[in-house]
Amino acid sequence: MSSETLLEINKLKAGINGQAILKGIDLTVNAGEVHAIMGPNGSGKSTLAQVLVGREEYEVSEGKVTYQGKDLLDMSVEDRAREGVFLAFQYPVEIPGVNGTYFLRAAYNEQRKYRGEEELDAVDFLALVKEKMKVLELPPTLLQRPVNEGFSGGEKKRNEIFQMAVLEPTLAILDETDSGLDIDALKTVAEGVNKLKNSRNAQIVITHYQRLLNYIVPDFVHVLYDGKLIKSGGRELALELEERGYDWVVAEASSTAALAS
Amino acid sequence: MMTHTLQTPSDGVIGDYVRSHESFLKELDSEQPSWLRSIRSSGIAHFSEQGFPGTDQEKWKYTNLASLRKTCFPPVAGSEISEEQRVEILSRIPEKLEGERLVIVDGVHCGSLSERSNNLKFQFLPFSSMVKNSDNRVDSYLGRHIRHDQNPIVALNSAFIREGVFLEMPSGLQIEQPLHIFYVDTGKKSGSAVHLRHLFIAGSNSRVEIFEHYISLNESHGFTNVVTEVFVGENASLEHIKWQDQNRTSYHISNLAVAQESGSRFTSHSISTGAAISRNDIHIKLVGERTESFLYGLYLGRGNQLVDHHTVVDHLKPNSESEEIYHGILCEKSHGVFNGRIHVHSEAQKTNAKQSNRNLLLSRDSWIDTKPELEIYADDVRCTHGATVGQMDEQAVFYLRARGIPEPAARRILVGAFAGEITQRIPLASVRQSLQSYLLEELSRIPLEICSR
Amino acid sequence: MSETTEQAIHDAVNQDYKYGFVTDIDTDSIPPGLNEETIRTISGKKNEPEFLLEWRLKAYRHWLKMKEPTWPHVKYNPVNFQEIVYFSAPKSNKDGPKSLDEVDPKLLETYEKLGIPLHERARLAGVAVDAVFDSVSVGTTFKDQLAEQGILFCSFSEAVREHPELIRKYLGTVVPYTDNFYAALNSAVFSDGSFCFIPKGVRCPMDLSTYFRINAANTGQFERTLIVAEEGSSVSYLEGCTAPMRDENQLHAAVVELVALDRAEIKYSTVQNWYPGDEEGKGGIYNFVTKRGAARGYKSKISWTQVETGSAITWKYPSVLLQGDQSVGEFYSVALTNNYQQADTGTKMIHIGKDTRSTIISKGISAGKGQNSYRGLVRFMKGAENARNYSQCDSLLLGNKCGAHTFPYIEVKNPSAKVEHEATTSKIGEDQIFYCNQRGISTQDAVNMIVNGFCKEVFKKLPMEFAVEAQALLGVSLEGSVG
Repeated sequence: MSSETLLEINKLKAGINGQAILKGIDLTVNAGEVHAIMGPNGSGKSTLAQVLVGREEYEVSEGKVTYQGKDLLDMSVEDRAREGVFLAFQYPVEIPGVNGTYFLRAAYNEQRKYRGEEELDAVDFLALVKEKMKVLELPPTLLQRPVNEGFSGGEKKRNEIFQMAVLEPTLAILDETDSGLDIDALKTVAEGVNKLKNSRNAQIVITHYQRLLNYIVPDFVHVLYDGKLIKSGGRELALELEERGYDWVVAEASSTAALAS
Repeated sequence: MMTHTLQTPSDGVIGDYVRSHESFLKELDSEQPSWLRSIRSSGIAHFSEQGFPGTDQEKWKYTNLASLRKTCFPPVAGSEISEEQRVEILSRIPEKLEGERLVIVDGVHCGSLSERSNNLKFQFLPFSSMVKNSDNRVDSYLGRHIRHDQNPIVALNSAFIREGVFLEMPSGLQIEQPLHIFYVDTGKKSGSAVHLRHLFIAGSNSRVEIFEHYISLNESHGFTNVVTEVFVGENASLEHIKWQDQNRTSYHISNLAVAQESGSRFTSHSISTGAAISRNDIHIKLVGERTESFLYGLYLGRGNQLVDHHTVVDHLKPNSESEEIYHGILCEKSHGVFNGRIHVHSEAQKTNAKQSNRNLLLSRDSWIDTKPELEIYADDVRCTHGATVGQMDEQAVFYLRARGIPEPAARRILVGAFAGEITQRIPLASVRQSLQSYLLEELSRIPLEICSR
Repeated sequence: MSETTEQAIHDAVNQDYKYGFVTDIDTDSIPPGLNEETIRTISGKKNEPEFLLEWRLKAYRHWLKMKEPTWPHVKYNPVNFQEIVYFSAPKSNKDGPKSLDEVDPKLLETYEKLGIPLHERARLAGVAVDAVFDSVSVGTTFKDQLAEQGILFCSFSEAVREHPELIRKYLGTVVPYTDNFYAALNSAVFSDGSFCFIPKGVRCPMDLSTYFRINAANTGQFERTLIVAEEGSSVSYLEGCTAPMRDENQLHAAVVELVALDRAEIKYSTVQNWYPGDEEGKGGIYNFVTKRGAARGYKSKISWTQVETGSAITWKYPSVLLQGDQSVGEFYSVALTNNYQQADTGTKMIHIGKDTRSTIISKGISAGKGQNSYRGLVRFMKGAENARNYSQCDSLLLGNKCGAHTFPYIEVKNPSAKVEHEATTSKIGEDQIFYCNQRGISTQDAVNMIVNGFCKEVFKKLPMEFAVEAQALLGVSLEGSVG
């Protein structure tokens, strides 16, 4: 496994409307790795995802995030995307009337322009899209429809993964991609994600339940609780959490904290 | 001090109204406090100036009052009721409807039919008894939200103001039992008018449900003109159910004006099944923030009935929500009119307003004019409206028949379900049941034609 | 709304008016003012037959008895009809140019600048153009080629001279001069316009187009367009318009009449880009127009598509009288109001025949202090058995000082009718912008994309060359034909 560091989060603190949510996160993600971030509702999982991609409503009060050697927090939302940071949204928004392929080509070409590469014309892009669609076994009608408009919950999630396939991000963050999916849809989505994995990229999978991790196998599992990563482990940690819930980790963490003080 | 000098009474019907007003005042002189006198005289002045509205006015485009305009309907001043009538009146009250009840017969409060407890924690009184007792609280509220200089029919009501219901809920009082206002037209004096004036004031954090019911005992030819002003205080909740079921030779015009303070909730259920021509104007002003308003309506037209609803929801402040659903069922030669307007003023950001009007045309000669309007001056809003006109779903009719239900019954079930989408929202079980069985019976009497191919 | 989004919206809707220049040319104008003499003068200048002068005078006398309508949801200072110049034409040799070669080069240059080259070498392929400059037509392209198939496409004045019987047969049969205040005024003083006649069974091989240009100051433009499509014929007609930037308001009161006989189809597209006034609301065109089509024949079809971005005030309701059984009426509209622009526009679908169908898609965009109203009438007459209408009216609000209003009238006198009307009002959501940003798309592009998406159903209905122009007008880029 390559050990090139893609993302380094240092003592990250952030909140919204003056309320602290992330209270000091440290995390290192190397190329080729899959990290799962788990935790009960309200622990700050989605906030972490939003802060990493640059949602402006969240204020970062402390800490540093380095991405491929650059200061990530200093970049605009668009530039982070163009640098290869991708968020598969928990609730993808509908954009009425905007053709899915057109949207995606615009996004794809923004990346290419950013890298100083030539833009792809409609014909070449269509060929690329068709190839990617085959990989994900998506119905071709999906892309003729406006972005997410009238999509079912499952279709929206699959569309997110499809966009990921086309944009080929270096760092993909999957925010609760499993929520609202039945088991078959979940398998399809997970297979898609797995096919996109290689030694040069990394994935952060945010989830409440362990069932997604049966299909997307993480190298590391972290428990986020009250704005902090209180425990990290391998894949077996996820299974343990499934069986025993979160309470024991919380208890363990607070006793460690008590000992430390 | 508002005084109006009347010009020489004009000719024709307006002149007849002015003369009728003169004799009305003479008859009343002893019981006329000065504030009431001034309302009455400014009312007749405005009415005689404007006359009845014509179809050249946008608001009256589809509702022609020509037949109402033909003769003067002088005010009626109560009637004696026979034992037979008493029994009939009582039988028309929905079963198991308990609680306070004020019964008004031919324009005058009828104490012997009303149900009134002592020591109520709130005021629920006939207008006439308040005037008699020199209780002037009415004065401070009357005409605050509805102005008769802009509406000749309200002006006419002010001119002949005499009876109605005054309700005042003190702050914080929440009552479970509904208040019942029952209006009965005995038909003893055909060709006369009744002008009722209601005032409902819900203090902050109070909660109350009011059921207004209008009936006639026979097929007389009368004109009922109701003006209701409602004040819903902060965080108060007022639910208003009105069922107008007067005979199909009479005129019924009603103006309901509502002002809602912050955090309040107002629900209107307007059911119109009666009258030759009925017109209901509902105007809700959301003067506070975070208010909720619900307007539900059902109209059933048969014979030559004309049923008209005009509603306006004025969103003046931010974060308010309104929902309006009106269903119309038009049979035989009836004519339905609906005009719903959502007006979002520039300050009213984060408004969420929905409106829907659906109509079933169930005979060759029935017709509908509908106009759902949006007027929006704020950008952060979600407003939608929809209107449909159509027939019964023939697929559904077929489905029911395929399950062994005979066709006429299948049609009644479907129309009943369409009405049920409105009636089921009425919170009073007794009223809901009584209305539903009324509709069932009515629908079984009317031939429901198949109008689509 | 975030500042960047606001700025992006501002940039998208505030484009410089590119057509605001004035052509310096000698004109033959009559003095301002309106009376019977004015009308006789206009009619005389055109050597009109007696019947037309009579008709004009009847219209004028009727107009005198009418009042200016006050029901539209617009505010403006009253028009002084005595201050308007009712006829203004570029000076030319006495009988007017015989062919385009004789047209004043300054005029040709003007149209060139507007992107409408008239010269044979540079002509737009596949589009025949009638160019109307102030009160007169300066030339029509492809006339001879069209004539080979029996299609008449010429200025209205020429049609009056060459085909008076057709004018007499159809003029005022769809929009009678009694129809409304501005239609009556137009009937009295109209100076020119276009005439199209597509004979039986002919499918017009190219788009026909009229380009209207107001140039002279203080003049009103009153053109009249008449399109007749005989049995089984079809035509696609385009209309464009621009005017110089001036501080004074100028009146444009046109009348358009369409007649479609059995199985005939008329598709009428407009990109209206009259000068809208400046950012303070000064100047701009009052666009008070009556457009109506009679779908007279069995299975006839009339389709209106309009993109309204110009004019200080727009007041128009392109309508269809669905007279023939199984006739079809369509109305697709995008109306943008920005700064102090006001638009009260919509349609009337009058269902008279059996099995008639109509569709209304209206998209209103309000920005700045613009006021945008949809006003529509869907009427089913007693005999309109089994007729259908579907209406969708959406409003997009860009900013909090503008307004979006919907006034639909639905009148149903036939119980077999089916009517569905839906309307929504929304704004560009910050979450939509963020979603695009996260995919690497800039806020400006995201705004353009969303506005374009909002209008798409209507743009799709425009002929290609117009769609490009419409999207450019709205500051939105053209989508690839992928997908």
